[in-house]
Amino acid sequence: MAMNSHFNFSSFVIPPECDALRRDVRRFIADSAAEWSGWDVAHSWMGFDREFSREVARRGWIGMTWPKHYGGAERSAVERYVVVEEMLAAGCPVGAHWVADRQSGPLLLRVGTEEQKERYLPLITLGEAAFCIGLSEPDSGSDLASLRSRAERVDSGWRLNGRKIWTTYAQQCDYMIGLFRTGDGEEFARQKGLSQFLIDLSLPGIEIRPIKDLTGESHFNEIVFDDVLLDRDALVGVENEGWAQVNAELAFERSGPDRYLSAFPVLPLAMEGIAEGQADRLSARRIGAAFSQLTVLREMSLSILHQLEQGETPLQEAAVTKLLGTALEQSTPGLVRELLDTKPVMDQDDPLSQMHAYLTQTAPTFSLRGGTNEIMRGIIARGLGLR
Amino acid sequence: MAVAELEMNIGAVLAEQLDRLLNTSVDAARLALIEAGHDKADLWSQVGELGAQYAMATGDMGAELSWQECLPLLLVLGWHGAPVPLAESMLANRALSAVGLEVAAGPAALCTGSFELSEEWGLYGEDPLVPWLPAAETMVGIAARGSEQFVFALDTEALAFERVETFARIPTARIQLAGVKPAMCAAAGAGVGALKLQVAMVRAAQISGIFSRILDLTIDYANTRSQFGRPIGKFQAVQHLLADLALQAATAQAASNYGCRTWDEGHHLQGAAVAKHLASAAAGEGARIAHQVFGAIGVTEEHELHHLTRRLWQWRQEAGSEYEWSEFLGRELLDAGGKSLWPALVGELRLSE
Repeated sequence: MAMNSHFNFSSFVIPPECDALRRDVRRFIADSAAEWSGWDVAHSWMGFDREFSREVARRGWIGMTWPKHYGGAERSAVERYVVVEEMLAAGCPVGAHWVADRQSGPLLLRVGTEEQKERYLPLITLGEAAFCIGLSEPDSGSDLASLRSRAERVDSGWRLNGRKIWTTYAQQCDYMIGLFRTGDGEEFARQKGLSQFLIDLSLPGIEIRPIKDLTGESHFNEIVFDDVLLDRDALVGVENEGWAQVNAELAFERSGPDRYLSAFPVLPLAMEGIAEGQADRLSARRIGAAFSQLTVLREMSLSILHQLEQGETPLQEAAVTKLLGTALEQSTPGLVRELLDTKPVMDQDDPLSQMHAYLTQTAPTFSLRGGTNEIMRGIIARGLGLR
Repeated sequence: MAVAELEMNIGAVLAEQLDRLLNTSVDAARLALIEAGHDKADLWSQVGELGAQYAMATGDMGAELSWQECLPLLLVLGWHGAPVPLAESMLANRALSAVGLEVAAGPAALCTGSFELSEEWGLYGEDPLVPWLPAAETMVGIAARGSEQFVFALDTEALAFERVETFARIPTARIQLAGVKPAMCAAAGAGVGALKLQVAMVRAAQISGIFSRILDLTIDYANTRSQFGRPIGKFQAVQHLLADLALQAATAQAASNYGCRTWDEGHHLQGAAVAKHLASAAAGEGARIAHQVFGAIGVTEEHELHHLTRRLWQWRQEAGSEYEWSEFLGRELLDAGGKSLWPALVGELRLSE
């Protein structure tokens, strides 16, 4: 037997040229942060604030890696990473541009038509086009390939029928990129015959029903499509190749700083909450452990960023990073409770209390969104050569 | 291979040579002999011929490799269960050469305890755990005289020590020095650094290396061991165990990469502390999962798994456990305050510097 490594986590370091950008981002955040409550901050990338997104856009930080022709700034992926990690560390409400910047825009750049790029990318970079992703359906969650919502060809283009669910902020978004069945029967395996469509959510026949969650807020929605007519150019990429297109996005979606920083802003406050000289050795260990884990998650995340830039698709590494990262995020409110014996109340005057309250109640979703823990473990096991 | 290319890849080339050598000469039976102290054939003389013991040394003999360049070598060593004190010898020669002392060709042990050097050049102090001391020709350590640090070397032949039984069953001893004169000794500048940190970095890398092997073995077993009419690797419960083992291996791997890089950038303490904390924490969980997959056969004397898992249990504790290093990191961060957490993560603030 010979030495074999199952993963590639070769180091990548953010170059010092990014320091000035980092300082700019921090200055911008400092100007806005005073207005945010602990409850707001804890929302992280689930915080939806159009005005904030417009301000980010004004600084050229949405779609910042995209060609200038489409409104981008042609900056590097690592510069985008710096902007994004600074915003997440501070708990900025990036939700109104998050999906478009991370996923929908890059998808259009990769497989969209010239008309689609010209029309939507500049809007995104202005903070004026909020996107959501329509994947799950009432009967298709982790088993995504079983989805049944359908797009049929008609003379004018396409007709949609069916339902999507758990669509984050659909009630406030302008557009959805949804995955629909376009082909079935013998010639199509389950994952074949799916296509992606860009859907204007204001079209007739679309009904959006917010779903209240256990925090009392409505983050996600059920969307009913009843004979919704789309133009021909609503198809994104290649007909019946939607599954492969969705999968190509996943290494990006699963390895970013949003997979380990969603709960970060509460940690500095929790540390400040430990009175000076009162840190026992067990508390110190737990804080040190969280720091190490965050350190290595960032190391993994940056390594994947660099590999993606090199044209590789480190899906295994991304699955590892998502599992480890979301486990850390999910354990964070428990760590706060362990350190400070936090009460189960929401004290409106205490940011720590509000963050702890929000995170405790939303942490269960951290290991669901973007592919559950169980799906991630399946991907890793398959990559190891099992099955 | 062109000279320039050889120089660029010297760490990788040495790692490949070491891998080839250990592949042909070390198996579970050989490890058992080494652990029992009955290995008469001289594995060191073969390993020593590669010259890897000078990989980190400076000067004429040394290759002056960085930690990142040495990492492949340390991973291979770990993969094979570190059957020789090569890493210890690399560090010993790094310390000796840094103060202008003659490097050691033979196997060296490294003591990380604190010692004092008297005005009469006598060494005082103790180290309860010096791996490889009974098998080494030289023991290297650092002693203090006032505020001054000295690197010292002792010939082990005339040295009195007490053997210690360890989980890894590597020849190990407790040493107490009460006035013995060093064979060589020289004042140390800033370039030497704390040996304990260096051993911590080495053990983290070895843990990462041995994890690759444990993962391979465990995957292979899950794909071949059949129960209920199919390989156990077909069961989702077992697949998820394997995935969790892979998470531990990946953590140790990325932690070692981070540690070596951060060390090379000059931040020794932060690099070693983070790497050793994570590798040590992964070690226990990884050993638990591997044994769970193997079932009873994995805990038998004849199966090779225990040679590997006993090393995980050994290495996680040597040069600071996960608990020691996490407490250190936590206290540093608490002293610096909550606002320091993010700057420390993005590398703007370095701990203890």
